[in-house]
Amino acid sequence: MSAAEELKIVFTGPMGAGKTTAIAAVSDVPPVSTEMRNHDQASFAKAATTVALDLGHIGLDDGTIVRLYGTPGQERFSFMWEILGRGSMGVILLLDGSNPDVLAELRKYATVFRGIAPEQPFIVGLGRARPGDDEQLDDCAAVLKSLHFSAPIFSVDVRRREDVLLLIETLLTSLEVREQDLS
Amino acid sequence: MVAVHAARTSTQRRIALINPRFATDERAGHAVQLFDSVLWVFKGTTHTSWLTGAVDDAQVVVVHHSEPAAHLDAWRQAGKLIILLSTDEIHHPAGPRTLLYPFPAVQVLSMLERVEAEMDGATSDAHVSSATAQRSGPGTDPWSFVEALRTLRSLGNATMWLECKGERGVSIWIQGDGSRYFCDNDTAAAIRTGSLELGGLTLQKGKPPPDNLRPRSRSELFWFATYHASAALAPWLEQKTSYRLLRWPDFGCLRPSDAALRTAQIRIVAALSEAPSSSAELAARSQTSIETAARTMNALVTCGFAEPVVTTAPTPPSRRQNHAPVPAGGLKQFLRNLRQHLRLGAAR
Repeated sequence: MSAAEELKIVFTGPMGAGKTTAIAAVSDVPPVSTEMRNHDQASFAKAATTVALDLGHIGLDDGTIVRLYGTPGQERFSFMWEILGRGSMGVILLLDGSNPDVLAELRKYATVFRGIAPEQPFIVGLGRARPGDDEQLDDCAAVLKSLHFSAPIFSVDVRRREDVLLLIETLLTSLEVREQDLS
Repeated sequence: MVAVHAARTSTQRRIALINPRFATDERAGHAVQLFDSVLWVFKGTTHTSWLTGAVDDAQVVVVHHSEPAAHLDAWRQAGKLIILLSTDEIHHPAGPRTLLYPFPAVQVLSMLERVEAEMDGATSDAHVSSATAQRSGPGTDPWSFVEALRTLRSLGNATMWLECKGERGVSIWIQGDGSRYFCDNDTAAAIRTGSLELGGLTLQKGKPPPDNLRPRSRSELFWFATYHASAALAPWLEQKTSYRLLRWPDFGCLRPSDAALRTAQIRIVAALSEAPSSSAELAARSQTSIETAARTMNALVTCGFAEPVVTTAPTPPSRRQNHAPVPAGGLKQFLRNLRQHLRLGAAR
């Protein structure tokens, strides 16, 4: 058991993958986003991006709070990843399937976050996936296999709340099944 | 390499598939079923049109190796050629007239070509009236369409297109290697819900799909066709065998619309990702119904997302430690509350 006090789910992924959108889709309140001018236009043409973190929350009837953290997308803030990832209930990695570097991004984030939270559920949401193309998901699965683990990889559109809920439900279900196997 | 021809010939031959009544190995039935599926999927694409029917009228008889020798002798004396389907490699290895189960479709087609050549040499009367043909309808076997898909995938002929025809004409186009399929949105929706009786469609070589249809995922067709085929385990799965997860299905694409069923399927796959299980074990571990577990297992294995495990001892679930903080009321209650808050599937 971790000494951390808060219950949190971490959304991570490169800039423009939809972390802020995903958190906004399920948070009880509009997420606090520390968006600022994007100085990395060469990598991603987006006027503003999250430089520190996004923070949303889900408040349950019994007073329990689940925090939803979105990690900063720009690489220069990657030192935040470990701070946010440690002690999380699980990590949801969002990727942009239209990015030609998507497999490299998957490898990078999977390696980093499996190192930070190796026993926690790790779910991958692939946005803008090529419709009807199984090969893209096959390639993603092959990357994870090369890292010696398997994780759900779902084609999603995080602008749709039900897609974000699918990712969260899979994370929760993974926790439930483990809990049951342990009991 | 076996050539697949367009439907262009009038040559018809009669073939009888004998129900393996004397077999103790349940795979005997699977072997005959597989052979029948290969015949069905390539109907109209091979040089000869093979019509299944009664043994008395047949020129070729397909039997499991357990069939009594007296029967085989009688059929041979009647001038029939025998194809043996073996599930016992030691005593009945593959040979010129013996197929060892599980056999790929290409072996069946090669075998039939050889038999055909032999028959051409033996008799000049190769034309058989189709008026008395008694082909068993494809709709009688819930697995025939899925078997056809499996056969296509094993052949891997991407240059060929197959058309699935029903009463209203062609509704589905499948690339010859099974990698993509095309249909309109209504048909796709019917496949997803299982309301389209796929076993009632005829599948034959045809033209590529119209330009206005977009390609659809191979997994979508394999997954839903298999999931809806039957509540029982597929013939190529074993009740007592443990299966392990190779990768998760893309539930972004393959999720059912029913929330409770979606939750059940995620639970089943999550449980399988933790430890190999048989279908019954999986139902227990995931707290889902036997039927849902069997259907999901069928779909997982057929799509190549799970495979049988050969082990001498059961593999216990992995003991992963939860390094996240545990909620005050316990993880179980917390997850139940969170599910209710987010209105996720079936709260437990």
